[in-house]
Amino acid sequence: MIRSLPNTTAYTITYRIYVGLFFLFLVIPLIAISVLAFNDSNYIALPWNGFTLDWFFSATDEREGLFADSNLLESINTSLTTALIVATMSTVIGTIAALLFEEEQFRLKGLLYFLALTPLVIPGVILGISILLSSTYAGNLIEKNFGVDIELFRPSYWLVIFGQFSFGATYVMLLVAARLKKFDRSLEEAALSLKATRVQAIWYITIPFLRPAIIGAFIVAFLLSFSNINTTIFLVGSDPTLPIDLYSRIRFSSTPVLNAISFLIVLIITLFALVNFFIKRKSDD
Amino acid sequence: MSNILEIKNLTKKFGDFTAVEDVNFSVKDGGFFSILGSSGCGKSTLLRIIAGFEPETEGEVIIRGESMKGVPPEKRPVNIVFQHLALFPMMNVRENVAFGLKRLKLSNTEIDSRVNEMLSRVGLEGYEKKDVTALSGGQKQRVAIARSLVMKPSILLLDEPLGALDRKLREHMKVELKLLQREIGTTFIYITHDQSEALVMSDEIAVMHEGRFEQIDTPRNLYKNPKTAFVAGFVGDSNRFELSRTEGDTLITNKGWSINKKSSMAEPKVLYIRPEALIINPSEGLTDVETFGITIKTILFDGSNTKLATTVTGTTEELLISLPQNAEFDGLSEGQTLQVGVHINDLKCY
Amino acid sequence: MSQNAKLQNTLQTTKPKNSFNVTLYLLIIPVLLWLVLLIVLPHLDLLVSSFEIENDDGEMVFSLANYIAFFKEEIYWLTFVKTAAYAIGVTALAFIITFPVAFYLTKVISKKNAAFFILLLLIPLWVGELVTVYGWMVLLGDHGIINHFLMAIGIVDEPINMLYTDFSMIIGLLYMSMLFMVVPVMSTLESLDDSLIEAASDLGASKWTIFRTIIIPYSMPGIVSGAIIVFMLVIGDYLAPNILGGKSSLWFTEQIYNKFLTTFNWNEGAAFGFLLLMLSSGIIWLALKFSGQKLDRVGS
Repeated sequence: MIRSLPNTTAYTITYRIYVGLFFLFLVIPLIAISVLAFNDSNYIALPWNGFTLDWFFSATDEREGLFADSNLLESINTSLTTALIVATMSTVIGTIAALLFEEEQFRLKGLLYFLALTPLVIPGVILGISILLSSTYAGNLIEKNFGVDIELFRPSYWLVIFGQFSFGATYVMLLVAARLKKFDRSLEEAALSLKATRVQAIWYITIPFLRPAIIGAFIVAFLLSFSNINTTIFLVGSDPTLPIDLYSRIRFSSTPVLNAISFLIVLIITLFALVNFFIKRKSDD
Repeated sequence: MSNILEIKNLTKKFGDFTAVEDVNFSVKDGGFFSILGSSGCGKSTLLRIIAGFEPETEGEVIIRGESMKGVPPEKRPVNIVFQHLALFPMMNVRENVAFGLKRLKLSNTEIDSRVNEMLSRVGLEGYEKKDVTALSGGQKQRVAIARSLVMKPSILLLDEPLGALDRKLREHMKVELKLLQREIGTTFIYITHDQSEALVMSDEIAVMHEGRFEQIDTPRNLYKNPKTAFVAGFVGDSNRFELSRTEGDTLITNKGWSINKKSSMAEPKVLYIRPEALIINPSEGLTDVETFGITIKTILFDGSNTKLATTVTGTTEELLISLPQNAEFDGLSEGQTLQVGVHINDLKCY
Repeated sequence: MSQNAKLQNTLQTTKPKNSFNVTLYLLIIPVLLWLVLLIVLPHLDLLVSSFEIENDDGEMVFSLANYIAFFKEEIYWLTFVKTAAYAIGVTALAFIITFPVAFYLTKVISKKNAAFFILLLLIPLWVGELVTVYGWMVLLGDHGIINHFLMAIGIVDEPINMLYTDFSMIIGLLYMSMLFMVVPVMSTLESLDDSLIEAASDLGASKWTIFRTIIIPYSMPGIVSGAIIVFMLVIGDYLAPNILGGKSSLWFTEQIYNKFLTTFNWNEGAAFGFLLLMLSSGIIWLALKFSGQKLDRVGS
């Protein structure tokens, strides 16, 4: 059953086949899209017509490759900048929240902590429509009373950022708090005893201790933002993020350029994961 | 010498639980003062109140004549060496020691000279750039102490800093710490549950039990003349006997052993006898010495600390007797009976 | 808890009040802004909007019409019930499918070998739902890869209709959510001491008995965490039902989407959203209640 207990051969083999099938199930869609990104065909389907890089580099009307498609490049750019801003905001506020809930005592702490956790269990669609409703309400109120139309309150680039930040901060908070729980409080007290103020103690001692978790949380927030669609779809304005752009292409006008961009995402994530894997393995040895 | 620290009527409550109860004491400038007690007796809380990490419920902490009421830890002229040292793992030795000086916004040259001086004082020259996590237990200890002493505190508080070391190193650090304190002259307040640490290093020791001070005294007095039953039982080894009654000068234990003690107090409840107070085969004619027979049950060999586990002949009372440091009694064996004596002043009743 | 441990706890949580207030305010203000502006107010607005309709003068007035519409129109509440039922089903499937894998990776193979497979598990997670849903679309279509192979080796003559059915939708929902079951289950299994299993085996228990009486009860906290996250993701998912599901595979999020972005009836959409929120919080609350678990355990 486990490493140390003997098993029958049939049991072991059946178990291996099952796990093998599971991982096949896991990787097959990724392999399928990646392979078709290089098929020399105008359709996203087999048969295999030979290898081509057209869906990356071609710039003809018939085949507009990824790097020739200015709309696609524009939405990639939007997604990257959005994800950077969302990750930065989430990391700052999420870390502050982790410090607040782990280190401070105040009234209504339980309620506030509960609220900070709710984005975990509120479906992203609900977050999206709630923020859309309330920002539109606020925008109308301001327009009525002051006669100015503030873009932030309409579906727009910045509204997407705030929408994604609203749940990104929760994930950062949980990741940072998990490390903070392992923090030896006497380190902070030692700093206080050595005449540091409380803010200095946090800045010089606590934050450096949290650094690995903060970096990890930043990456998580970045990826959450980069791939989000449920919340974003209600808040997006005139500049679509990459998932929004891809979504409308899948629904209305699919060409293998979708495979090209998907392949690129899979490739980058895989490389990133591998680098991470080898760094970890090295530091473990 | 004046008092550097005065504690007046200090009480600390956590909800219904009283951790420190009406504690009073003062410490002389330059002294080595220990607070000795088992874990949970309130000694750590007391230290944290002095350091400013816990507000007192009642009473007052006065350092150099100034009340510390409401003064935060970073404003108090004390530094603390933590139980698990709390060295900053993200900094090297030098950065750890310089941390507090930097918070005081001293000039770089002054910081450098003070750090270097302190590191050489604790014998850590050449270790400046070392990662603190790469140091040995004793070296970490020295960094923690240097980090606090470099601040030139009025009082250095030490919270069982030797607890994590192995026995050999602890013996060594005991001596080193006492010598360092003598050399620098800073007042040390030292918390420990290890009586040997307290006895070896301190000028004065307070024994703490369930939030209260049982006795404050010099190590010698504490050992020789414990004022309460708790101190007698806690400091040093003792044989303990429950007394059922007294008849005149005779003490009678629960298990029926009777022994004379002149000028005894009224209605004592327990009797303590230290193993080393018992004299094997006492010579005839000693005054004020009570003698009685014992049977050896087993010999507990432990080098210089070898003891006999015995029963008092005719009773079931058990008695530990220290064996003198000479070869005279090497031939003892189990089941043998002996005469032993004890001076009546060494019979401690409470 | 011993007296001493209790005391130790109190020691860590009580701090002198006077000196740390500034820090408290520095920390609490940004957090309050986040929670009030982006969580509390929007959801209050959702609730308020769901009880409002526009009258003939273009003013917003209180009304139950949005909720009445939901119960009157069969397709709405049928979709609602179907979404809930399917989400529970997918959660159960995710558990059944992934538990043996989680067990395999933590208890059967060595840590070093497991590291590679765990990496493999995480890649689809980070690649994002859109790409993977698209991958299934490419695989399952009438001219998709699976049908191409089936026909090439002559198992079938006509393509099997898989895409745009409940089947493809469930595959998509399962694929994007099941990894959130694996991760928490693995972390509880990791802390399960092998010697417990060895002891049970030594005492003569069969594999099935060990599984039922030791392994499952021990990993319950992880299973509950995983189930809550999977359920929440599935019930709130939009992409898999929309791209992989057929015309008949209506999902409640699609109804909300239509109200907001197609028919622009935001108030009815708000009511639908609120109903979905109630459904998801209700079921999560029940799960927490029956397992005696805390919400923050779910996130970790």
